Amino acid sequence: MTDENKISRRDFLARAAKAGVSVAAFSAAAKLLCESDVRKMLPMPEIFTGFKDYSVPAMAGKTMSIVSGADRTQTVSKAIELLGGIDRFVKPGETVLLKPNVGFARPARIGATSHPDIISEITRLCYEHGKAKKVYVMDNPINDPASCFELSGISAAAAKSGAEIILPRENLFRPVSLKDGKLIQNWPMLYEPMKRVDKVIGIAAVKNHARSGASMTMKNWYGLLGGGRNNFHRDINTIIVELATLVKPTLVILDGTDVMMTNGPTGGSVSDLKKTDIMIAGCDQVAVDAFGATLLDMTPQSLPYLIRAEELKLGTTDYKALKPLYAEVKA
Amino acid sequence: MAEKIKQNPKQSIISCLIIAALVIIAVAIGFKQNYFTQFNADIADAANETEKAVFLTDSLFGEGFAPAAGVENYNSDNLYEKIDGKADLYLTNGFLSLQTCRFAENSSLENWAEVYFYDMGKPENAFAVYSTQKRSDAASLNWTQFGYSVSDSVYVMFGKYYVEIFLSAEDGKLLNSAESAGKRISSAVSAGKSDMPLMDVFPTENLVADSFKFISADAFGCSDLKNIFTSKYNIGDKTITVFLSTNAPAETYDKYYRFLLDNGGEELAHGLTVKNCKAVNLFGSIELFFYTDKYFAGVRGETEIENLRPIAEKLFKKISND
Amino acid sequence: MKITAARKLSQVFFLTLLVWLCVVETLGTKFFQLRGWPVNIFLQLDPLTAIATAVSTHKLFAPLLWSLATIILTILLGRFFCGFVCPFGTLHQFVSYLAHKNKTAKELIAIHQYHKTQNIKYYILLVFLIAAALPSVQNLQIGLLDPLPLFTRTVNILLLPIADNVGNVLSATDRLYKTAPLVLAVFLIFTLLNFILPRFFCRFICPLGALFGLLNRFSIWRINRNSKCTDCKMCNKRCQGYCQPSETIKLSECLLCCNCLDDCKFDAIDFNTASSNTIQSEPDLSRRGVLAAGFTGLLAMPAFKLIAAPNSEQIVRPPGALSEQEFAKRCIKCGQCMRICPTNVIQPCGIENGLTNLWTPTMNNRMGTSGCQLDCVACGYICPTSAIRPLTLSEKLGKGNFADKGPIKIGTAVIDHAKCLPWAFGVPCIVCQENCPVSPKAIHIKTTESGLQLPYIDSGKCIGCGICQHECPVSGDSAVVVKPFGQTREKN
Repeated sequence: MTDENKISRRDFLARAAKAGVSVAAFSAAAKLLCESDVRKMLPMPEIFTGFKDYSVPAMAGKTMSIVSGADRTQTVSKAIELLGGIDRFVKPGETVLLKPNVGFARPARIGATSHPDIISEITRLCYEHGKAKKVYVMDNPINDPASCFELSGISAAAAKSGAEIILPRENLFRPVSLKDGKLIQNWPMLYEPMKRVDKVIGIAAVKNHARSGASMTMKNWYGLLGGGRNNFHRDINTIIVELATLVKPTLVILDGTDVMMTNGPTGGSVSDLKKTDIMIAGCDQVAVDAFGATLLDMTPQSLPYLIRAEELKLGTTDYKALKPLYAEVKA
Repeated sequence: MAEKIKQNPKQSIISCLIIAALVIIAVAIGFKQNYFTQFNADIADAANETEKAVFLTDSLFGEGFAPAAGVENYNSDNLYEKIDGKADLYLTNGFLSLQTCRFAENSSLENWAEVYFYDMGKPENAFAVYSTQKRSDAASLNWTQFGYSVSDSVYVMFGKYYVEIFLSAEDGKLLNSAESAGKRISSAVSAGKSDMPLMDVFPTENLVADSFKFISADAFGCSDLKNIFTSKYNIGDKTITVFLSTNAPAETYDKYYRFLLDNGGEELAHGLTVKNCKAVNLFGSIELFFYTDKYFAGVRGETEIENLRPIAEKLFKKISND
Repeated sequence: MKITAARKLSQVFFLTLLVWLCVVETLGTKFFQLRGWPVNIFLQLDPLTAIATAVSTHKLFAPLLWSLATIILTILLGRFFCGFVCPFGTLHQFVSYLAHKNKTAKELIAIHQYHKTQNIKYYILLVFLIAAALPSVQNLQIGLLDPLPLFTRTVNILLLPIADNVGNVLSATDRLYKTAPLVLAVFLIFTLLNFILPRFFCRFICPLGALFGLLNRFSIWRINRNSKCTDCKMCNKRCQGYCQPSETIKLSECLLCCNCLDDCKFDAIDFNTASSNTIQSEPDLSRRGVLAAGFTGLLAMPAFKLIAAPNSEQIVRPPGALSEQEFAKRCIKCGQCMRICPTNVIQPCGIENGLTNLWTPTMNNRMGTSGCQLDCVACGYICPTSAIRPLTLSEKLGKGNFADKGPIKIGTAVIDHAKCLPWAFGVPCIVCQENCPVSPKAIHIKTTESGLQLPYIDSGKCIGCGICQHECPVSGDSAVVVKPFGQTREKN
């Protein structure tokens, strides 16, 4: 009986100890996790203020080049050569991000997307002459992303030349705020790839655009936005200017080989296109777009976003003052 | 069959403990229900008060400034604690509440501005305290109807609110910030033009701009003449004064008349076709005054009675129609 | 006095208290109105609410600290909450008593046998907790079956309206709730199951009971059977927990109803601190069962989301609701916001909003008395888990310190031109504009050349209060509808 009591007593003490430990554990956990203000519980949104500056030092007289010719591979190559060659822009071992306009799942020939020839040529230049470590191609298209890259021929061009396509996956977006920005506040953008690369080259085609007048290199940065970005079309000029403030590219390429004169920015038929056979490269996206406007038979002053960008000293609409370098490539 | 079991004392003890616990819980809940949930009180407040807006916001002074301490609130019971002897002026003029807050510059904390935000209930009251304290040499602010600044302070009234901003030093930059803060309050109050029906009663012809004034006591040396609004007019090369008060005691008219005569005034024929009117010549200063159920008003100036008569008539006509 | 008598008193007390605390959820200061009644106390005492939200949010909302008292008492005493407090359990016990009172002792002993299947509740608990813990698809569904939110919801949106709509004492107008039939179905099923087996819900389903069953294994005081036992098995006769006191007592199932103390004629059962080898302290869980439950939990949420779930962001939530993701981690579907809402505009979602959103709050401006009242922030203050966070009036209206942030937007009204009287039929009507409560108005009028006034909405000024939607004279669905876009909800 006493033995049994002893066992029972020992057992009870063990149990009481365990109960005590449990009580202590729950109390400690409660104290650790307790929070009275629900706002402090919410994960703090990590907001990124802008991107880094991808631009290269200016070289007098080598800010913009205009090359005429029908073959994009040759004209873009020549245009970059005039500015000092790709090795001015891409240093050995650097990573380069090409940002074409891949907005639509349509074939390249209708001119709604950047031409694959330009992608492959710039990729080639980056690898062969720039000794780039890696070239990426990225856009957040309007239509289904994978289809857009496939149908525009850019996937094939990238695969051929060794560039890697970055699809706009959910986890690449981060909320970005532009200082003093009105629209770009805590807005999801393709921040992660932009953070990783050393240089950014924007590649756009000259397109008529119902809302903004013209879609060129500045409007091209729209493809970095995520979220319900179509709301921004209400204030299209502001968003274009804010994007151009946010992104300081290494180089922009504006393709005016076939200019989409009507039904932009989707086009749909080769009859929307006008053959102008011009390729523009430049470090000043405002100047490049100002020249691009003339291809659409518009003056730079008729595009409010260009005027505002100039006021903000993002560039100049007086492209002639930059003394663009001209050249012609015969087929 | 339960009765067969002998009553177990342990069970009784536990039962008593349980019942005691229930009683304690019931009492605690009964106690708790008297302490109203915060938002219940908030909602009751919202229902009872028309608008308890907060104008002294943290961002009142814009970037670069922050409140150095919380907003202090004063009512008629403790106004003395903040402004001491000056409280009487406010209390006799319909004072409702005072909020104060000190804003300091982030970069150098010794640069600060303290805002006094008085709710006077009615624009007339706000005007009374505004005009009584107005420095005659002060520069009027061009962005508001009633406001002026001196080198280290800004004084403005918006509707029923009277605002004073005192600065830590005579500093132009600080003064600018204070003015911007004043503008922010102005837009938050959204009073626009201060609507004072009493001021509309004054004839506008020949009115000297910015001459509105409020005299709370001992107007023109008469202890019975209180809380009057005055305004100056240019008639020819002379300046005359028009005064007006509402809800003055009925005997004010008689008392003022007696006061003038006692001090050597002589009654004149006023020649006006209005009731309850008197004219007195006090050593060359002519007084024409008059009362209705609602107003006690008058015109005075060191000029011929002919010069006073048109404006007096205009004023008297206007208020007798009221 | 016997413990069972005290227990019955306690059960009646807490059942009455819960109902009373639901009754007083009317804004006001009369004794039967909100005053300072601790209307959330049961939900705050509920450790399952606390643990499940801690699992999903990794934090514990301070008012839920009350549950620590329940946890500590359970660790020390056992499942007293089930036996003495739980109002839902009390209801089941009473219904079971009525259903089975004519049975003989033999029949009663037979139906009160322990059976392994009753451990299914532990698996249910596990499924819900794992689903709540999953990253990225975090979704708290415990409120579906946790008895306190379940019963609170039932009283709030089913029983009280039924009772009060007869006399309209608490509310001047009838309170109506959209998915009440579904709540009724669940309530009836769980109540009627007691006719098959007493306290069916408690025995097989209750995840809160399961949680207590896991917590009480070290309890200091426990029911013990001693050597005086004659093996008559009478102690099983009215055992509410099916813990078989006549055999090896399943401690995890014992909910301290203390009936065995009464039913034993030989003084062989006692409530004491003794240790005994006739007690099994942990529940009978099989490894296979736990694994299966774990898998089910892992799969449940993604599957739930796939089943007819439109984008949850499309639901108009009450003002102050957290971002949808954070909201989903907290809402326990208790219906407190729907009960307190003075205009009855907060309504439970049906399954058309996706299974995971069942019974979560949404704004149904066509129901209730008048959209979302401007000077009211009741729902955020009452929410026991802060899925709707408390707002001050100045924050809701965007005044004072919140002037630069502007008012809280619940959504944005849009006009359906195909239904709107002036737009579609050329009939004069600007009721929406007249009733728009914001100043300056968010609905303005443009007059056509023929003199017809057409309403337009200024989406920047609209706060989504839904008063226009409520007042729109078009029958059936309103011609002006609050959509969730533009809503102010904490971004993350």
